[in-house]
Amino acid sequence: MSALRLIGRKNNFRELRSLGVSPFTIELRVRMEEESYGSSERSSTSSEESAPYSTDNSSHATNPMNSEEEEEEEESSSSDDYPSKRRKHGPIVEEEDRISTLPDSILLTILSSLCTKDAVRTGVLSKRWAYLWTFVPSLRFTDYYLRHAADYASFVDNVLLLHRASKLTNFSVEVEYNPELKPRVDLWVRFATTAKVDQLSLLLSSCFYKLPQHLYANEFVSELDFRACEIKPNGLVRWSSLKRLCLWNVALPKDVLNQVLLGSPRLEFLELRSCDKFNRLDIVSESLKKLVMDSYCEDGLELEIVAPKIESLEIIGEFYGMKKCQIKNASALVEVRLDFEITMEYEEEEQEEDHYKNCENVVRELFESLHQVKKLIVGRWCLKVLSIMSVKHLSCPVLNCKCLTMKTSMEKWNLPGIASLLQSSPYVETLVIDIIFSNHDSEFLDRIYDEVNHWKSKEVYFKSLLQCLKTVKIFGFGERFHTKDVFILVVEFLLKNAKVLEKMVITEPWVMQNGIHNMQLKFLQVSQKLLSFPRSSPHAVVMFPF
Amino acid sequence: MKFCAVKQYFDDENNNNITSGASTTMIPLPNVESHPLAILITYCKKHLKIKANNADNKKETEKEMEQYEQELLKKVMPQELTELILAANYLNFKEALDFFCRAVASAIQNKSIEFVRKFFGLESDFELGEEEKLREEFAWSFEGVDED
Repeated sequence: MSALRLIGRKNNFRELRSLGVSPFTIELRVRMEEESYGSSERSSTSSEESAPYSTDNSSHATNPMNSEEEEEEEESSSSDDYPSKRRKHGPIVEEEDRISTLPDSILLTILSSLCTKDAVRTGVLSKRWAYLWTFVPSLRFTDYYLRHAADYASFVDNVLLLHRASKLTNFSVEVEYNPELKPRVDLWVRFATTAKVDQLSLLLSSCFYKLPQHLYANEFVSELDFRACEIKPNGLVRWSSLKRLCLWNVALPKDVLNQVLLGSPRLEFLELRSCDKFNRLDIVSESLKKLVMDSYCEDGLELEIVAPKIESLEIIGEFYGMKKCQIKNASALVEVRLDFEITMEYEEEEQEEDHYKNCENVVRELFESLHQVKKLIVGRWCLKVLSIMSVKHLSCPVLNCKCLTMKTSMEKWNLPGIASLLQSSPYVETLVIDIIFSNHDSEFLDRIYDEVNHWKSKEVYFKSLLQCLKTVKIFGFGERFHTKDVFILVVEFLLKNAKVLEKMVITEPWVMQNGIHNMQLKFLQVSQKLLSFPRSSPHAVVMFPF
Repeated sequence: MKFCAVKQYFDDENNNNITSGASTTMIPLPNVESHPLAILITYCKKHLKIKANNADNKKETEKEMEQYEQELLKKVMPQELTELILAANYLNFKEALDFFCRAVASAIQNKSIEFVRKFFGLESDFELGEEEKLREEFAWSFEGVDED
């Protein structure tokens, strides 16, 4: 680590000190790592260094630091390869032009972050800006101000006519679609693919758009987002550079997804959101690293995932009547989020019983195939099923996870599930409890179980547990005050039994920030109580960071 | 690698075999003003610190970084943003450059042309009638804009 003195011009010591930076020794850790920054960048910076320094000579004279700087200068000059860069020479006046000194490439970076409508408007700013926007490599037609589909489509057509960049990095359209627009949308897609676009997003609504056939053979695109589109390739799919695919509300009849996966050998991320038309989904991919499965509204889904390289899995949303969810060969799986719910309509009690039996089977099989996962997030509904299983004396499969997150509303029917989950995770080192709001009914559970003592009776089995638990983080306590009894019970239990606990952090007490006085008082009382509980770990620290 | 221009300077020094007996090295940066430089250094340090804290958790890093960026934006005057961009560009500090460009973009998003002109301190150099013609040509992009 070497100490550097970085001397900027117009040294203003007062300013620097107010920022807490000592003007004399600014230490930087300079990492001597090799990074590939092209030679063009190098020439641009050294050309800046060698630019004649005619401005601000007056301030140099008064400043001792700057005179040293002039002695030390030993820049090597090289040719200025930045043809469009302009430097203003002459005294810098207050309040004036701040932007014209920036090179075109930076202005284009700024314009790329704007949606296209705003970018087009900058054409009126000045001569330099008049057609700068036509070179922006990113086209985003995603704002809601243009209401009528007809106007919107003309707007897009107009922009595409004037656009001059030869390569597009991003082309996004969000529009309310109707079948009359098909020929125009086809042309937009053709425009984007001709410009070798990297990321293509077609987020449509109200009607389905059939993707043009030429799109299925594309070697440049690396990210595709489709909503309300129809995928129906006539031949093979060839998306050889595709890395990310997000399908939202897309019909995937039998085998279409297989064709897509076969034709995308580099696919790493797949998201299926509210897609339908398949009863059984086999996701088979050698390259897939992350899968997000969000909701399915048709009845009786059977989901099987065969992805040997998959590292992260999320199953979220609502699945109506899901029958099976299995992951084969999940040896690379590191992170799993199970924040889903299996819904069902039933009228009689018997049907309800059957439904829950089915849920128990799904959850148990799922946990069995995830036993080696290191980081697990268990959502509210899964916890509820675990509670039901626990009350029926069905155990949860053992898990090897090291970092466990539970989403719970801290109501008393959560307790058996929490207990069961802790019991099955003997190696957990970090526990995160996310307290959430839930108005979910617990009638079924109330009927078969209503004793908090159930928790206490299980304590005898907990003797050998929580051996590895080092850190506990609890979020969202302040808002749910009526659940504090259960919360206190859980915290007491953790403090009593976690023998190597180092740190318990209870954060985000909304009540403290919003200053409702008697609530604050109650919260303080609870905090006092928590701090007074006996701890089996001599080093444990309980923190309330606020 | 942040501050690539500075790194380049180091490499040059090593190549020229300048042995520095002194414990401090002075690197003159004549094209960077002190104020934005100080902000960039703080940004860089914070970035490295957050990265070190959340070594394996990329999402946490991003979240914390976003929070820090939001707070930073509140303290920086919009007019200073362009100076910061110039400084970050000169120093070849890519992350800061991207961040400040995005900040400028969100500041001028959906604003009227007059607002943007004031923000940048730009003056129209169009001849009479040229601006009118352009406005007419792109009338379709002027609908639904925020008033100042």
